[in-house]
Amino acid sequence: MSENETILEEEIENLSIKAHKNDAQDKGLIIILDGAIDTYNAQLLENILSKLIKDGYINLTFLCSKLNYISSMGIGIFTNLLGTLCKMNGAFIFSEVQEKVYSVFNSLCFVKFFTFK
Amino acid sequence: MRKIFFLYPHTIIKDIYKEIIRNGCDAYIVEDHKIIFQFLKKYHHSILYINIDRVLKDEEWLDFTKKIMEHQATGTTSIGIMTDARLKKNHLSRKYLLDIGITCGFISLIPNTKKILEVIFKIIDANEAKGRRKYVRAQCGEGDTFNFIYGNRTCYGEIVDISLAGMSCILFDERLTLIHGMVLENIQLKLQGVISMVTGKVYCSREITEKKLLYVIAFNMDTIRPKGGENILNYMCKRQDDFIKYDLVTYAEDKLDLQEEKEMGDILHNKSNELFIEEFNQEVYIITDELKEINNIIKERKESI
Repeated sequence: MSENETILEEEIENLSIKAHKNDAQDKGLIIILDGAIDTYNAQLLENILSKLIKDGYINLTFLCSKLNYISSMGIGIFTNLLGTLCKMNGAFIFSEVQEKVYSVFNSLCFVKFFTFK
Repeated sequence: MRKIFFLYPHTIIKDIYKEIIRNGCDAYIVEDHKIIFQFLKKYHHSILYINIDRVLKDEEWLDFTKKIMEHQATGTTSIGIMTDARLKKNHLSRKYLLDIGITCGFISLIPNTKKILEVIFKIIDANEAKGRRKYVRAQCGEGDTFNFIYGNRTCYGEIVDISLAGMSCILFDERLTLIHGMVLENIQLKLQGVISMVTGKVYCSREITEKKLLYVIAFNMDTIRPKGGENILNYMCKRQDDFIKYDLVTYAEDKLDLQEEKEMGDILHNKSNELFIEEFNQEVYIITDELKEINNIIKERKESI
């Protein structure tokens, strides 16, 4: 198996999701988010993430350099995810988050619950 | 467009309320938590910001929020919390954001209007509150009229709804027809007795009865005097307030019926569905008209090419 084996490639409305295995971490995945997370695609993204967790991936790194928008509904997915992964001894982090996306987390007071790298 | 309800808003939110409306948000101030369920049941997918510094105790607000989120009839509501930063209630943020799972944030308000406004606009954007529309429209009441000079006569009509960008209206004289694209100079608007002058262009029209046409007139933003713009905005804020008062009266009248429904386990009154369908149909009409207009523009451009 290659170091960055692609696990998933999905295009949903306004958002492209790619997941690679992260061999540096046990049960780890690097998930690249490209586009926007809004009301229309938030549920679909949540379904995809649930499936990945069901497959045993519980340490997730979200690469967000190309994520240009997140709605409050989108943030809601990640708060749910936090609860789910905590129970499974897993975790997730956001990496390379754009300033404008980070400011949404910040304005809504969510930054202290998530890890940003 | 989603409705935003500010429950017991802080003074600073009241101070910027006009700016929130100017920004195109369908926002309302509600000063009674007992009646908010009524609105949330009626207007699904609304956004509710609760000031937890007033009226109820911290634990009671937590319970109140939970109830709204868990109730079948109000579960589509997105909730956010507002608190005065000086009261240091940040320890509650985990309970609201993670345990209860509200998505519209836990906002600590600082006494800086400019910064609060920035945060509010960010929040509005994050909540996708404005939808497709750029401007909020206020439904007009009886006595909200307009007139303009056409040829050598004065034409009168009734304003149906109004935004900062335009209005929909009906002419009293059914024999008179306005042509699309026609520019109406010096339209005198009379909104609850306050007069404002605007210039507008007939954007589109649709039949509402066999004889009557509903016209959409787009205001020429460059020609609205600041005072006129402010008058319209003040009127809109007033109408938002009237809307809540009107619903309260209806609520009081329907209270007994609602109690009966509750007992029957059927809280969702059919009326809300009817209203939803009515609103949806109105949207479809507007979109159809806009599409027609776009088609006409494309045709015109093709012809000119």
